[in-house]
Amino acid sequence: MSTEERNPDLVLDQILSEIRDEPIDPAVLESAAARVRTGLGQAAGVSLRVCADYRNLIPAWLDGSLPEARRLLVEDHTRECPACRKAFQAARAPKPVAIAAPKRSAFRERWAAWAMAAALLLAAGLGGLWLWNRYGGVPEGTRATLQTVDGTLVRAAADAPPVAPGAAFGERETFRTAKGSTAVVRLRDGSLVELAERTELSVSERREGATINLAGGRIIVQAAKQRSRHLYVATEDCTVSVTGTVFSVNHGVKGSRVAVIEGEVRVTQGNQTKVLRPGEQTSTSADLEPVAVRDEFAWSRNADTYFALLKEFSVLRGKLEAIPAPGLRYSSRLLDFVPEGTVFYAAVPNFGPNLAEGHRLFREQIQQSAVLRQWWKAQTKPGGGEPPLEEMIARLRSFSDYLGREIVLASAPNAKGEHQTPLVMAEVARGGFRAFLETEMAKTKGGAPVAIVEDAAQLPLSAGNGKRLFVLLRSGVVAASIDPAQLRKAAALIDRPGSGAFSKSPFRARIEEAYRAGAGWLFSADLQPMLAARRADETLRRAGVEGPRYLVVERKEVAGKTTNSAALTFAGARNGIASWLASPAPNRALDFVSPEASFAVGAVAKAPAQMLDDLMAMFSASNRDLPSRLHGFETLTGVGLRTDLAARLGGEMAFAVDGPLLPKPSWKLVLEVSDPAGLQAAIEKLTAVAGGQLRMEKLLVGGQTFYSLRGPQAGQEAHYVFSNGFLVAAPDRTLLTRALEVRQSGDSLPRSAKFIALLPRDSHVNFSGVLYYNAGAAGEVLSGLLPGGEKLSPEQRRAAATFAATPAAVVAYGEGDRIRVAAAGSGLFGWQPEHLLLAPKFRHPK
Amino acid sequence: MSATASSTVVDPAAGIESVFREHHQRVFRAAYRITGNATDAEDVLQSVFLRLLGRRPDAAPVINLACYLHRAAVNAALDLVRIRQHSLDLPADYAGPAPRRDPRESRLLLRQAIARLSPKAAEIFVLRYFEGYDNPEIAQMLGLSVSDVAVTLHRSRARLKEEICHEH
Repeated sequence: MSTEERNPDLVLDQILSEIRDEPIDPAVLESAAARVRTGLGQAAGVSLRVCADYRNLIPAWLDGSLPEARRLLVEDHTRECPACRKAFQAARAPKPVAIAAPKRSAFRERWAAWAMAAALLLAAGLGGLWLWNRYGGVPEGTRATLQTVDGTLVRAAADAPPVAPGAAFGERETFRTAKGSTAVVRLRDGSLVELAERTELSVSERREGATINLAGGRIIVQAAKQRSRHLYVATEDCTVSVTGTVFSVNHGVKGSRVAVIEGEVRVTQGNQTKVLRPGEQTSTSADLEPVAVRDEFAWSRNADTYFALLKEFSVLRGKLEAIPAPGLRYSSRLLDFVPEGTVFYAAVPNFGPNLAEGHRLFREQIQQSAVLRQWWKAQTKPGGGEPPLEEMIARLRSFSDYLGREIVLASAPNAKGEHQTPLVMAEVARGGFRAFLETEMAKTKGGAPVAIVEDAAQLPLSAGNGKRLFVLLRSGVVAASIDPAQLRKAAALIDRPGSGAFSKSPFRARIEEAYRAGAGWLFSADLQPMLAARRADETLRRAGVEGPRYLVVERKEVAGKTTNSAALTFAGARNGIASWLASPAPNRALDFVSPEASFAVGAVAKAPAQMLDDLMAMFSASNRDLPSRLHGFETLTGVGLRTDLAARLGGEMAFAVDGPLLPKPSWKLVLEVSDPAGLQAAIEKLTAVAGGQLRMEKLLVGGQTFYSLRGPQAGQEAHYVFSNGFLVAAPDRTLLTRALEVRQSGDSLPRSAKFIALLPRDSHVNFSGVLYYNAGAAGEVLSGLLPGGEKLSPEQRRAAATFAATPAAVVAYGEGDRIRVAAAGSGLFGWQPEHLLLAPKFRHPK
Repeated sequence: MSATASSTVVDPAAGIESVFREHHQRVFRAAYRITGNATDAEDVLQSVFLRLLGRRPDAAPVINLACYLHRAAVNAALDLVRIRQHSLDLPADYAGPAPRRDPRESRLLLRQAIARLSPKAAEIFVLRYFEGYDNPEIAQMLGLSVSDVAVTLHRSRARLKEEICHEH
């Protein structure tokens, strides 16, 4: 595209002089003057000073006997004076008024056309017809049909008789429920409106959708799916716009209150619009206090039992969360007994007491709540029943009583490199364990295939058929495995702790490091042996993937807050792709993301130019001609990939979906830019080379230049803008403006309290990367997309929506020799009772 | 071109005919320059004189009829351009014209941009660049200081330059 570098002053002056020099045809001027003069000449004799004077003219104006001059003055006055304009319009009788006088010359064509149209429309005799033409066709027929009524529903006309189900209401026909009555009305599109007592409303419909005009009272709307139409609920002071949801509107003297159960609703009051999600509500007046969403629905005869259930679950969840988790462990005696060559080590806290307590609470809650009891009955097959579950838990409980604070699993590959079954170990905290085990084994039918020994010498040499479990009890430690060889190694270590090769290995050191920081649930793996096989792959090596040595995944609870984390430790300083994540630092790209974003990912990376170098190094190994092809591309376009593009970018970046998801997702991309002008020049060069495929446009609005790139087809477009050292891109300009506003106001995602609350608790002030999602109402949509989602019952679907709607944030830290990813968790090991609703019907083990 | 000022105290209603004869061309031209079309200019012409006619007897006497009419024309015309802008979908969603700007279009854009200035700045700008008054005259007409006028003009120019000088 050509850019004319013209001096703005010259341009401006040029246009100004063109305007000044525009010729005015004298004939045109004089004929205009003549028309005006005629009117004035007659108006001169008139004294019309105040509105009353004008209104005195209404009768004459109506029957067309007003002299030209006065009519002119009336026209002029009513244009300026709204009160008189209304007075004149109100006085218009529904019969043709010969305003369109043949003396066309006294009017301009425009006025004549208006007057003609007004006369025609009035001649039809109905103000409503004018509305018809303006809004382009209103559907025929009933607006609403009465489905059921519990009590009395009448049309608003005074003393109308009660209306029976099946009755139809027309456009704007008002009806209301009597005291103590409720009713359900069905709209043309299938939406259901439930009316509480003393509720009055009417329904009007236009091409673009239907409106429920709520004069007073309370309604609950179950809106049918609105494809291209809208459903509105209008009260005196606000308008609620709806797309497929369940919500309630309560309108009274003090204002309106809107509460949402399902879906998303927009409430417009004056010039402010609010979006409400499930569980949220708003009132139009400060005098109207918010009320628990449940209570807004409490009056409904069909109050959804789902809510009752949900409430029970949240109570249960509260109680479960109150159970303190087993404390953190800072060292482990069992580490000393881990055999050489172990590549996998896991330590889980002994949570027997917690499990028992949880079960106890569950039973207690079932006793107290009929709803829960009913649900539980429906879940478990009759006769299949509870006793086995109870028993199982009791046994587990007593078993765990004998053990120490943790249970350890260690696994090492055998000579062939295959993994073996884990060696399980625990400390024995109480005497009489052997006797207990033997009793338990006796209870099992047919005798359990378990062999208990206290001396390794008693172990057979081989595993036999692999079905026997060998248990060693020695020196206050219990170790079990199906492989006696493993046990033997363990026994040797139990006798002489710290003697094995494992005690000195770096893997053990890494595990100890995890303990020192406090261990809850700990899983760690030594990746070297696994990756050794793939060492030969050059690409991987250059990708830095060869580097990782240990993976440690943990879950722990600190002061009531649960954190899940995974850390990947490398052999030395990270290199290749692994090094792309920079050290924790503030990420200002996230400042362009609003707290209402449904999805956001942000990262602080190392310099993009270096990342490009890494990529080049990685791929050059396999594609030898890559450098020369790249060079060719750069010569052709005049744009150096590294020098003109990558070098001009900084390391802070963010991508978010921030705004409506339909019809197009409102994405935005934010990149740190060190040289905006240079980058823009490079982009322009690339666009020029792309020829017809890509078009760039610029728009200057309020001192900010907005760029847009459009592809050949409609809808393929992206807009971007440079602001404060960042490039911000989005599908349209409104989103860009919004992003700039977010940053300007400081009310952005990283500063919002709810985001900060989601971050895991640890010693870091900043993070290197973050992934955040808060699907909100979209959770329902997303749950439908789950595999097998169609098979979910509505209850399960809603539970899934709640689950998906829970906001979550996962955070990454790029530390010197490792990358750590962490997320806050909750519930009993991350499980919340609501998840039960998701599970297929619960079957008891036989 | 410079305007001549006649200082006579005049009762506009008496002898509207002669006032009209003397000043209608100037009013029409000023309105035309601002609105860009004859229909709107005629509209303004009518408004200005009707209002003159409709002035209450106890309103302040018009000292300088020419200036009064000139300013009235300018302001009425600017109002009209503003109103027209609101009823159309304009530059906010403007997709961009052809690469070579049509001069007529440039003038339209500038007119609209002028109307988007604050009413006072717009009036000052028009009086200076369309009607040819100089800064001291404008200052006197509007009851401002000369430096106020100069500063406002400078700012208006800067803003207009920005608005019209985006490229496509």
